[in-house]
Amino acid sequence: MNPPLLQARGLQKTFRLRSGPLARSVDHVAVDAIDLDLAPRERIGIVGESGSGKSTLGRLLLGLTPPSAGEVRFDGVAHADRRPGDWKAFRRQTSLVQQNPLSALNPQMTIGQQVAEAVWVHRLADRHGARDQAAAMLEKVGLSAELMDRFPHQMSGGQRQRVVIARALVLSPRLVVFDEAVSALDVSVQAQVVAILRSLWQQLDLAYVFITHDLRIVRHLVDRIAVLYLGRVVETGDIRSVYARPRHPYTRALLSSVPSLDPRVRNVAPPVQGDLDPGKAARGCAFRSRCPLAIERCASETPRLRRIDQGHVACHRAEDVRPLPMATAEVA
Amino acid sequence: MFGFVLARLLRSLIVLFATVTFVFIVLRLSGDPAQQMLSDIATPEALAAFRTQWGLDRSIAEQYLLYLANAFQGNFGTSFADGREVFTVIGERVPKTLSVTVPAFLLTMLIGIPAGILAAVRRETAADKAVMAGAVVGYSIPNFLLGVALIYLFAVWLRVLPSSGSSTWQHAILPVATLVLAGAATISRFTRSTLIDVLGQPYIAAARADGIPEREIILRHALPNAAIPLVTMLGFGAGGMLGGAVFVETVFAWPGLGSGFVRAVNSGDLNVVQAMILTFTAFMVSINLTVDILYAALNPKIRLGNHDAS
Repeated sequence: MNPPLLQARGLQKTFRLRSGPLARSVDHVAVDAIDLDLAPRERIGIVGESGSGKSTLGRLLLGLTPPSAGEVRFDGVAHADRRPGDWKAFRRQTSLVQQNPLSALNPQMTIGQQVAEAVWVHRLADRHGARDQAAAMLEKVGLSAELMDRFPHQMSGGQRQRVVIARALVLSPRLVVFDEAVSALDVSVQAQVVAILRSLWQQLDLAYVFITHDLRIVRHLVDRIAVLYLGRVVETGDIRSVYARPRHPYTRALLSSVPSLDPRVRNVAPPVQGDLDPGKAARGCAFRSRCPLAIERCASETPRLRRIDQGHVACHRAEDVRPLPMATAEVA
Repeated sequence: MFGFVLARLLRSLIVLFATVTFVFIVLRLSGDPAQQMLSDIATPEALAAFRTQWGLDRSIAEQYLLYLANAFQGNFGTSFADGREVFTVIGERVPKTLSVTVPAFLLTMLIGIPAGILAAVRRETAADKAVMAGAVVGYSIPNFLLGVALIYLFAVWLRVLPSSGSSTWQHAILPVATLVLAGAATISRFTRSTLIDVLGQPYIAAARADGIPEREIILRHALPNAAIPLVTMLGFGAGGMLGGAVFVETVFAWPGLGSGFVRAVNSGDLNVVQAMILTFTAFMVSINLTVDILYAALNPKIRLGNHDAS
């Protein structure tokens, strides 16, 4: 097997929260003991609800925020060992695509300036050459070079997100973190962007981490999936096998609540009850307060990721999780 | 863009006209200028003569139309107090006021903006805390008190600067310092919070993730976007300088519009008061117009209109 392009070990991020100037500060663990390997050209989906720590994980992987514990390595080099000069080289090979394309674009700069900027900042071309490269990249995401002199507010949402993708890919990065990259778009526009991402991946030497809460979209875009619950990976495995046979009650609940266009399919399993409950995460299984299968052991012993079939699951009762009804599994 | 400027220009003229009208009527209704000028012991004959001399015996409508007609020709009447042309009286004072407020405004920007940028970029460091502590001090002391405190410190105690008058440039130092301290405090705080807000935007995170150096992110991405709200704030700051001039010129006996205004109001010098309010309004209106035009020039959404391609 190839050596991993990206490797995270024991990654943790704790935020100190304080409700008022006199209140005692409370530590909130956003990302907890995450291990992750990504091979060159591999595509992984990180799935979770809002508040599951998935965006923080993305920022940690790109070294945009320092971890509280653990480390991230890219090409074998740990972020912590990188000197300022090395960071620039790292940034040339990585990129970030964020959720809202309007706020992800500088309202004061034209599309062409923004896509070209990284090219000449990294001295890969002069300003003129950078503009040509930007035009070529825009064509690749299906935008005419005539739009180069437009400002973001003069474009549609779908066009903007394609600009953001063009800006992220213009340096031919080896790793991109897509953070809810299509969630803010209309369904029809989502389909276009998904198609563009698939075809770009074919053309480029690109590995990516696709962070989303949308289980329908991610299926078309990744090889592997990791399900996050309150900062921990509760299930990970090959996308097909996880979708066909979820082993964690949370994954199962998420999959069974995916809305289907098929009228024969009704949501059979109860969707997850209640909200994320960070207070109870300290001991035992964090999901137990919402879990239909919870037993006493789930309160006393924190489940660790263990191997089942092809994947890994952190659940004491993984063997008792029933398969999804056939029709649901097919559609999801 | 041209239409935008034209519309703002028209609006400015309307504001000026409305101010003239409003001020004229309110001043005529708020007391008898003859009584005020000639004091309580004046004989009825003296009062009547005064009214006839200044046309105050006619109806308000008549006086108003006459005033407008004259004002359009640049004739704002003569001062009740010394019989000089109001135009001359104000013309002497405007340069005095500008010689305090313009340097004060420039220094406010020169100190306030870089201090705010420093505080935002070095957030939560000693530099940030020092700037913010200074800003709180400058912000919370009222300028008349600050003026008195500066007089005490530099004129009475250290005896290095004159406390009142306007004969040398040293006389301008304390009034300017008073205005700058308060102005720079406001501007630095606002620059800091605006820049911190901009630096938290996703496009800044995107630029960082693309490896754009922090210095260039601040210069090329953050500052141009922070400039838009900052221009509005600087407009308030410039207006505040004029308001501050009323206090500061009085405290330092600086013979500008501000102290002249206070004197004219106290003595009931109607024509002077009226023309001075008009002068202040004209300054404020031109500041607002400048802000509006700069705002549009800096903001592509206004400069180019909002035609969505979808």
